[in-house]
Amino acid sequence: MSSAVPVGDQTPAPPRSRSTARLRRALNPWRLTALVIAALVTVAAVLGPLLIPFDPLTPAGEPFAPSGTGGHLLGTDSFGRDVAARLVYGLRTELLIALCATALAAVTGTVLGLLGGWFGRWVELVTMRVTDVVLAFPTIVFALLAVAIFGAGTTTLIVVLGVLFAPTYARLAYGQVLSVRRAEYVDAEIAFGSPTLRLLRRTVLPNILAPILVQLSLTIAAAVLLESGLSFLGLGVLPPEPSLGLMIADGQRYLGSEPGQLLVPAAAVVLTILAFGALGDTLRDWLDPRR
Amino acid sequence: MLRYALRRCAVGVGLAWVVLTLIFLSLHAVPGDPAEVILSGEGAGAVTQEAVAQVRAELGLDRPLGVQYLQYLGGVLTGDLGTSFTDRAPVTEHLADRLPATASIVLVAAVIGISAGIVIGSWAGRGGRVADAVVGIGTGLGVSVPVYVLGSLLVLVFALTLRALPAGGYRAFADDPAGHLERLILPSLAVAVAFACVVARMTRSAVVETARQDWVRTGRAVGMTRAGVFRVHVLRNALAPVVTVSGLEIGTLLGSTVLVERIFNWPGTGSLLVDAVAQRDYPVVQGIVLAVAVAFIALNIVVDLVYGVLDPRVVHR
Repeated sequence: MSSAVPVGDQTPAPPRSRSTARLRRALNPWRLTALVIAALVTVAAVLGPLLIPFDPLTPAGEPFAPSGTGGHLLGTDSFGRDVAARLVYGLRTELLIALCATALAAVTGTVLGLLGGWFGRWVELVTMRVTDVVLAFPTIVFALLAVAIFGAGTTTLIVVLGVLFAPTYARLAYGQVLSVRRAEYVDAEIAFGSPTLRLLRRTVLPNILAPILVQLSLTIAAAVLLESGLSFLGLGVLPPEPSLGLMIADGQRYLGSEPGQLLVPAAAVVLTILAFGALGDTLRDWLDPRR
Repeated sequence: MLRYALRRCAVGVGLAWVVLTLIFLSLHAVPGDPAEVILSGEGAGAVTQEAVAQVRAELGLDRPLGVQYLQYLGGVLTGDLGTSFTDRAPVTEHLADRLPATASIVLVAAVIGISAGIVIGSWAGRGGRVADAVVGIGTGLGVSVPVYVLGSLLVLVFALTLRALPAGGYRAFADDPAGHLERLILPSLAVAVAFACVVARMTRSAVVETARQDWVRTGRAVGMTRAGVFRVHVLRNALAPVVTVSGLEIGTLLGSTVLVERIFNWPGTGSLLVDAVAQRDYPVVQGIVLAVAVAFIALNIVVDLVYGVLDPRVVHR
């Protein structure tokens, strides 16, 4: 093999103009709106607590004060706590849990899939069977089992969601590695005798990364969906901590007289899920040329 | 085909065994003594050492883990899932009690979801750009609304505002068929919407994909009508993957019932599971999770086999 063989990057990145054109095609007005919402949700979660002068845990007025009274932007809840404050703090918890769980799932899943796909044989057997076992459960049932064991709370939620979503990444990485490992640039690296770990990290990983990155945003949406459901059941974030699922459960109790108590947090959850879902779809159409 | 089916079943049994073992081990690795949980739950005052020892002996928790495991395994094989911590009734009795309520939601929601999904998806796939865009946005919205939000909204609109349907509760079908169906509509609808959206999306892409095939053009060329070609050549070919993936989605549907039963005060296995988790009633949790996992594994096998029947081109290795 001559030294003229380019190493590591045989498939040059598409020229910028083509990439931009694909991005333009991936963005329609509907998705653009969704992306703006995703940005707003994130900003509200990060900066909201600084802007709203109320504490989410202490009563600050009459119960069910209508919006606008006493400086309460969205009114107060059944305990007289500021709804806007609970909303932004809840959103913050929600996004924090979703982000941590997604990171955990992406890292463990990718590593498992990478090892399984590269080494084959028993490594493949073990890693892929583990994902099969996790996938053999409806997600919420698995989550409830974990809550029964470890008790409810933020840490349990992060770990459980991480474990639940890891198989998606393991499958993705596994499939990608199978197609990449026969590529000439990988053969070239092997021929040059680079150590396996370095090869996996420097050559294989970057080449399988696009679909994994696309999946991140979709996992965040799925994590928010599942987390708020568990909190709604009273088995996720524990009261009195602010959480969108808990607010919805509370709102359901007063649905007949105070529908706003349910509609406000419900709208926040739906918009968050929609926005991150749309972000994922946009990324997929943009970065994943096979679609 | 038969050999494949047998092998698939053997793997399924193995997987069920692994799941059973994992559930058993994880629940027994729980910090804290279930006997103390039970006694403190009964509120009989101070928890004495003797009382704890007695309950432990009663529940067989004083025996070595290996013995407990073999006993549980033997029990499961002979149809005994243990006894509930809270009321000392057999877990199988609890399950038999609650299963019909969940089954009626799952059944009705699956039928609505699959039929509505296929109709909407086909319409989007062949109905031109406007239909496609409308369905695309609608289904995107449908899968993003959590089932418990949708359930609450249905209660708000149909029960509290229009007063057309009851907000919740349950009547056994045998006692009061009309009352059962009346209370079944909203929960089933809540579960069915997301399911229908997933089916519609799959149907749409399968229809679009199939409509590009040569045999469809040939069908038109030999003088078949558009509707005829669609029915005979497009839909029939597109449906094989749709039906099978819908089968798998029934697992998600099972999960949604947990939340929906809570909203509508529906006494099914889902609400039983949530209560058991909150009260740390491990035998009940173990029994339900095992039942769900086995149902899910069986569903996977059936779906794989049905796929082979629907699409004879699939060769089973």
